[in-house]
Amino acid sequence: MHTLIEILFVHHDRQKAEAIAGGVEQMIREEEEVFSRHLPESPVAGLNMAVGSMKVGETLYFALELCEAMRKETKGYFDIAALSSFGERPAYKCIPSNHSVVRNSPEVMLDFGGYAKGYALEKARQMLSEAAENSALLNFGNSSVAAVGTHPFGEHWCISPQRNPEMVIHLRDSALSISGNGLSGKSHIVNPIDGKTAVKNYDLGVTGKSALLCEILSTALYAAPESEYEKILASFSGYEAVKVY
Amino acid sequence: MSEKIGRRSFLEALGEFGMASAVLASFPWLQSCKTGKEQGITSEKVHLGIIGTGSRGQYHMTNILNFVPEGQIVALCDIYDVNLTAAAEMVPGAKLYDDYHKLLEDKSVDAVIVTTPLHLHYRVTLDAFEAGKDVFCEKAMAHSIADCYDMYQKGVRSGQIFFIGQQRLFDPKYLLAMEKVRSGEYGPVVNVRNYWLRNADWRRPVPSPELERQINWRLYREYSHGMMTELACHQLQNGSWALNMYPEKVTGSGSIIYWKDGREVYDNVAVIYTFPNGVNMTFESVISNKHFGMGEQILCKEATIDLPASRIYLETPPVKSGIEQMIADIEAGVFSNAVFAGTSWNAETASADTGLAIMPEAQGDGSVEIMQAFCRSVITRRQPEKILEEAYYASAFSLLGDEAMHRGEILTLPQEYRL
Repeated sequence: MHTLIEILFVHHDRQKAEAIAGGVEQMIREEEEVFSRHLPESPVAGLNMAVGSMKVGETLYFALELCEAMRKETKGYFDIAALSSFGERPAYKCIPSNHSVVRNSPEVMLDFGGYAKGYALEKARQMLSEAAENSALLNFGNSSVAAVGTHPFGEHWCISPQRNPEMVIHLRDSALSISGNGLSGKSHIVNPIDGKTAVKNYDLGVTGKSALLCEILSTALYAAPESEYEKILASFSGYEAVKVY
Repeated sequence: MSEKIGRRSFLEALGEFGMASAVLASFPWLQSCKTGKEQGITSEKVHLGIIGTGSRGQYHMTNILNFVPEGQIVALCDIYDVNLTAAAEMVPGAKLYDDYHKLLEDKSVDAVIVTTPLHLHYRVTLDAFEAGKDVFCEKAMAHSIADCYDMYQKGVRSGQIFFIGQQRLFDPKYLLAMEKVRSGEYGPVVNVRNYWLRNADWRRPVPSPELERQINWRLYREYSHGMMTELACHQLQNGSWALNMYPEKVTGSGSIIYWKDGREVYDNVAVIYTFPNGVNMTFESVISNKHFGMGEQILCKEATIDLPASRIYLETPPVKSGIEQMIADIEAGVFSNAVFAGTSWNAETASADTGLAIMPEAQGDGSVEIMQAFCRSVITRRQPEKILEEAYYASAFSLLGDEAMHRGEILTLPQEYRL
């Protein structure tokens, strides 16, 4: 995923701890092999090159269906085809009968970057929870954070954004995703409605139960105009957005 | 860790960093560091005579006895019997002289190590050439630029092996740092800072008043130029190395501010050397405050290289992971918040670290290596390239800096003294 991944958890058995961390790493590598459009052998790379329909595996098919559902729920602002030239939406069709997918045109390029990060983070959080770890923190590239349980010495995990270290966000069996230009000022989020790069004078954080939904929502909200925030969030109970100046 | 760099094959150690060939290309005098086996040397030994057996002479003797199997000390000379006796105890059986001319007549001596007071370097070295001896002379080369120049020319013409004790030329950590600087890895050099701070009177005990000037020769201008020839001479090479050019002009100021005990040399100096490209190099020294000790820093656009500490400080250090900080806090039993959440992390920005060690294993200051190289050069009869030029300019510019302070002017090295 070409990003920094950190896992913090407390365990009395070092060997078991290393095995858990190793399992998470293995899972992330497997997800990358599916979702990376930069790996020539990945299904996503194949789909972006396919002529006509292409049968895909269960994981990718589920992702494509979910992403289309999320596109609709976010009023079109979360779109894995946002990097494609502005055109017809949905940009692809899923064919349930044989789990195949067909793009609307050869210009459609699907990018699962945000989705894959949130999806892998969510799976990692579940893996740590199932390993009976009630105190863990996962950081994917600083922009996506998931908490299992609480800090060993507190009632929650306290996370502060780089942009505003005075701000403290409390996490407890929940997640945080931050989207924006960061301190560098370089924008990489495209508004899929008008095809322009989204530029705002703040970063946007979303907290909630699912790391995947946090990722999707922070991307969608940053791409959307502020007037759309409430409408988008109305469909997602338990998720909150915060502007970070 | 007992077999550290500097106590085994120097070039082999550099090779472990993938640097041997690159360093050899940039610093040709290091060819003389090749081991005897690499140079086809058998078991031949260089028979050495030590002229001047004071602290520096005994320092070299210790290195030779412990780390330079190619050298064998066979003769010692000093006019001060206290030092000569102490040295003789280190090498029982060595022939003892109180007149260096007699030592030079000794046919069993192949090469001499000149560790006399500065004002004697010129005469002793030239006499040694006349006697057909190879010479390792301590820095600074001589008491005047004219004498340095004459020593250089006569040394070249003599065909003898001739080293000046600029040990930094053989210090592995300096060499690797300089190679990095000259490669442009850290952007252009924008400044060079050297300083040497002590808090002591720089005196040595004098058993009898008439020996004051003989023993404390560093304090009198007839014999020494004080901080410039004893300290600056070590450090002024840094700018020339880093920039691959020599200074164009120098100015500075010095005075006696604290040790007003009859000495003639300054006890504080501040000198600025300017290179042809406009980059400045400073040398500052005080002997009434030692807080910051000794420092030699190459300031590049993208990093600062601390030469004695062998560390590099990047101008834009990567942000330390907030998770790492939180782990440290948990291990310390602290409930803290982590500051790291932000927009996506870029892998390209995390390839380096602050205060990066250049060569953590490096040991010593090059004194052993330069003596090994000298002995190997004597055996192979190959004078290393550039070593004498580097030494000459280090001495010439230290003397020019002293002259600039005393004249209160901006000086350039006269054309007739450029090599």
